[in-house]
Amino acid sequence: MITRSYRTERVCATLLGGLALLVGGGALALNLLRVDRPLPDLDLLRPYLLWVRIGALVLGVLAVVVGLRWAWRALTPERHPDLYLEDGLTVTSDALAQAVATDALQVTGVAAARVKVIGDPALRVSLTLRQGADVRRVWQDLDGVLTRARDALGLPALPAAVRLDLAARAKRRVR
Amino acid sequence: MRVLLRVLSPFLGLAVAAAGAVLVAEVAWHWSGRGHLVPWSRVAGLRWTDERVRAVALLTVTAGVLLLVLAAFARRKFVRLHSPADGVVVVTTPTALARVVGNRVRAEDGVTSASVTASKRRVHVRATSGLHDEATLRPRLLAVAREAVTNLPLPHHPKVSVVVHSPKDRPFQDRPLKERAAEDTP
Repeated sequence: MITRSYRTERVCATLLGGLALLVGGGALALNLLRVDRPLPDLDLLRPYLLWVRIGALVLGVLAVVVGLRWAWRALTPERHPDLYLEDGLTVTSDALAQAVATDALQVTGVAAARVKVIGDPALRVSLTLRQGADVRRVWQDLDGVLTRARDALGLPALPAAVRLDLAARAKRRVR
Repeated sequence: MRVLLRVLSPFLGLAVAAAGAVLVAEVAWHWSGRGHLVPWSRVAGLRWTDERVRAVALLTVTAGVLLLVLAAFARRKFVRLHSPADGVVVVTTPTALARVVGNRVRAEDGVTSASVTASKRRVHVRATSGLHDEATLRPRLLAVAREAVTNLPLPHHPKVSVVVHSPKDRPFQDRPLKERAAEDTP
């Protein structure tokens, strides 16, 4: 979870896939049921022309907005915004991430900590625990780490998504 | 799957946006009484019963199903742990869960090797032992694995199941001759 989530991509792909399934399935049903009408069925549409136009316009604008947001999100790297405190103080996202990571490393049993600042301000934390670490203790101390960060910055809330990698094997280097 | 979705996303997004833009332009163009932008005349003669309609419909359905499958499989499977505080979400991976249980089981006496598969709902342990048979080892491993899972702050504990493979459980006539001879002579 130290990488960003795939929710936007998945929701957009689901919407587009569902739409394709509906439209294709509908057309297939009309074809298989031998509905002998012209493809652009103007006689059927003409009485409701105003509503068809408004509907098509709304659908079109929606598609443009959703499509551009989808593409934009996929193409731009994730933002790690700096934090602007009162009295003109700026905390860069790297500084905040480093501070929280260093604090998290003090917790017994934590072998590695990676932190990223996402949103304004929210944290994404990835902790690697040593084998045999007391997960419940780490889990309790984690709250302390996040509370200290929140209090130090004077924020009312600091949401965080934490991933624990349990019982990771210690990396051994062959010399 | 995730990589594929990531790679396809900009193209799909732009395609959707372009289709929407064409639709808006067409409606606006037609509404202002300037005729059509889209060459509708090319599909004017088509009827729903046409074979080409069926082919395009089948292609659309296939593409839709593929996209739905892609979206369904592009998720990471996480195991949620209890939240220590409001606004804090803590997760771990099924692999990590399996590692915790596996380490505990392998530390038990008489276990030669063990493999563990874990998910949000169940943890399955397969252990082999040359020393004990299933009847004696299984309850012990079950307790150990349960304890390892219970020690984690999980909102609902997964079901734990243990299978022990042991040569002791093989029927007498299937065992190697050496073993049989050893058991025959009291």
